Amino acid sequence: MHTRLVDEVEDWKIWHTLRMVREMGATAIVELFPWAHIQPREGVYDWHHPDRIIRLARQQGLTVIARLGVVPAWARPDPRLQPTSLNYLAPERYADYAAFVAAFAARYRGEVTHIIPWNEPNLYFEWGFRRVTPEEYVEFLKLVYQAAHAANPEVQILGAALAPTLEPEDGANGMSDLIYLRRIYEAGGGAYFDALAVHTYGFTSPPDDPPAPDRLNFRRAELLFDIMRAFGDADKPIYITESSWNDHPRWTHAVRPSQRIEYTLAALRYAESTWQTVRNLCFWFFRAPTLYRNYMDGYAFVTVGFRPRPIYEEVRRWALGEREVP
Amino acid sequence: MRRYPTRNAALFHTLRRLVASLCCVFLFVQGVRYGRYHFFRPDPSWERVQARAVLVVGMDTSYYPFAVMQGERISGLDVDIALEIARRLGVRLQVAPMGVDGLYDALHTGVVDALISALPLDPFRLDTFLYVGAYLDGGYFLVSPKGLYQRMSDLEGKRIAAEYGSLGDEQARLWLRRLRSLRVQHYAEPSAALAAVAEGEADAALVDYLSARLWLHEHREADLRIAEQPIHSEGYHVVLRIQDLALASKVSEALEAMRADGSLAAIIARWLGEDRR
Repeated sequence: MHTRLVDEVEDWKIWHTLRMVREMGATAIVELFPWAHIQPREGVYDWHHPDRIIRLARQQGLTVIARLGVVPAWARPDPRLQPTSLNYLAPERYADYAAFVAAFAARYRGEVTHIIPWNEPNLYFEWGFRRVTPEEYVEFLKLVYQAAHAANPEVQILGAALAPTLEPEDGANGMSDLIYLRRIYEAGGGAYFDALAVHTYGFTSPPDDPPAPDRLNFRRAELLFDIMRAFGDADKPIYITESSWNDHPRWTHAVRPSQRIEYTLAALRYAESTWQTVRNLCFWFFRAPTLYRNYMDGYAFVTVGFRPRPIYEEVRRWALGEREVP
Repeated sequence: MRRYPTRNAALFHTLRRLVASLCCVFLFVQGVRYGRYHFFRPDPSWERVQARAVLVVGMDTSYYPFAVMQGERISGLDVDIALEIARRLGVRLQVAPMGVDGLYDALHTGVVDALISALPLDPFRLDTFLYVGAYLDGGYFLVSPKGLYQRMSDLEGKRIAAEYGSLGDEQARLWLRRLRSLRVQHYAEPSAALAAVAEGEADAALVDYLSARLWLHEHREADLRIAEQPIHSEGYHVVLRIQDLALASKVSEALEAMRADGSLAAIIARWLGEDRR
């Protein structure tokens, strides 16, 4: 389950979220740990918030898959000279990020075994509005991989999940996930991740909708698996760190609430029975600390006030074996 | 003159008064600055609309039956309500079509004068926007034969139909814990839940108001009635900027007049069918 605990303040809400996640039957959470929060100044670390999330998750027996992102101000150019977004990381600062990942991996040795450096680097926005180039991500990943493994040899570095997108190779908003992954392998990037994180959304299609390069659906992930196989990485573990259907009444890519439940349960069954190398299927997202007030609210499993939505109850029943998937 | 036991006590008293006075001044300035006390500010909102003789209303034109765009033509329930309000204000209506995500930004930045787009009250926006009179409650209502069941507590020992996973389903599940005996039956769509009640497979359906009205309009032979009060209320409002009190007052008066003379109900009936309660 993908949680949203980074901007949660009160301990009891973090604890209650994690308890409900565990009671639903999930075994792992994916959580963002912002570099900018943990290292607000160069050389200064504040581990208070990740400490409590990881401690409380461990208390519930949940595996933590840590996504590390959000660049602190000190690692970005002076905004008076060059305004940048929170995702902007210049190549000369890759080593700073790698050092942070190494510090994270060392601190949580034995507690956090999976780290995802960055998120959806095939999107222009996520790559700090810099030109999207898989070869540059390989350079970045190489530094991170080496630093993290030197600090904690047990840690698993996951290749960042790519955004499922139909953008062409030089698209205005990014690059096709299929082209991007292929180019990562061609640049030798396969040697720098122990497993691959994957994002795959169903949108309005059912989970058994067949994959195709010009379609965005749940089984699009299989096209990524094909690329891994083509480059001799067929046995590498895969973690689906974001997936879901949305039931917001006013979003064109949403489905009806009944379809959302059926598709979600069918996807769990499909992944379990068919995708042999997939270790976890995590849904976006469990609960937000406050409403987004847009279509994003249609992804939540639990309301802001912790009231379980029917999808929560049905996934829990499925996990407990009380419910058959049609 | 008041006497103090020591000079320190007198000084402390004076300081306390000074701090209290400064706090009052600070709060007053902040209040005026953030528009809490409108009587200190001129409110030209109504004059502005009058001078232009046009009321610009933002709408999401992809949400049937409230507003849909077909070629150059925009029609729907919200469009008719906006037209009637504009007519009563003596101005022309101009609809600004946009996506639902852009509505509040357009109002906040003054691109439009008001929003009429099936918008429920959002408590988090009350600092910035005014929500004027709910013109329709799009929440969840019980629908039953002859309106036999009006409240969830009436359903002891009964069967309730709801769209699987919907807010109606969520509410029904809550009542599973409150009643000694209640059977919740799931259906893929609200129409199927209503059909189940009509065919006697369930005693009542808990569905959203729009689905209920539209289904009942298409199935006049079904002797089902919508409950008077919602189980989960979600009123749709006209939204204006918080500082535009004068315009809000005019819009509110127009809506009240429409409610009183039945023209609001007639517009709703035109799009959703007759009100069967």
